[in-house]
Amino acid sequence: MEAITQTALTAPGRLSIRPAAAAQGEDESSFAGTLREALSEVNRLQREADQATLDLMSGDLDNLHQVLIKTEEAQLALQFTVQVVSKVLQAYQDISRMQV
Amino acid sequence: MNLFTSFQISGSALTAEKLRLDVIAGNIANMSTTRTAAGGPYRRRTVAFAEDLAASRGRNDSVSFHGRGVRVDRIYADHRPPQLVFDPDHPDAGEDGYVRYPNIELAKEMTDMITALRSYEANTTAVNTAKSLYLKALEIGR
Repeated sequence: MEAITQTALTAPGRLSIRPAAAAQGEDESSFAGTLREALSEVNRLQREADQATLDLMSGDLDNLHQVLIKTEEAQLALQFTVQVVSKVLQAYQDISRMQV
Repeated sequence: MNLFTSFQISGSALTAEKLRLDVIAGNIANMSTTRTAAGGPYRRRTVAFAEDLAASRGRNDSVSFHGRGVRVDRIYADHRPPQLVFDPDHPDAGEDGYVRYPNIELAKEMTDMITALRSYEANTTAVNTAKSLYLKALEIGR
């Protein structure tokens, strides 16, 4: 998961029409900023799911359904994000294939 | 994140039903307990649930939904009188030779247990429905 997030986090800088420095700056309304937020949310959910699984295995957890719900949440959030990213990549490729 | 609200709501209900089952299991386990820390026989316990509302209520319009599921309000003791069984040799027998046993009816505990199980099932169904809803959303534009 860590690797996916890292590569995905660096990718939007290249996708963004603005210069990379501006995208990394305080402009949170840019697509890169939004995507970064969404990815950190996905990462948080993945970490929560990991922690819940660890707790379950070490016997610290008293509710089995919490693990399953957390892993479900993490899985769905990742699927949503991947879907959005692939849509954006497709748009980028459509534009790059445009004849000028 | 508001995306998975239905998961959180159903999850809170699952936790609550699990606790209800724990309490019922405690009642059944202590069906003939005559000694407790508070003195006297064990008293049947029941859970009371309360609606869990979001901390910030916000505007009072009917469109917004602020529920966050259910929480356990309290676990209270039943104050019905204990069952009296005549057994003078029992160490906890009173002056009159009667032992005070807990006021637990097994049939009632069993029906409560089935109710808890069915509620749990209903909430897992709600979780699964929410999941298929999200998966349906993922099919948009595929």
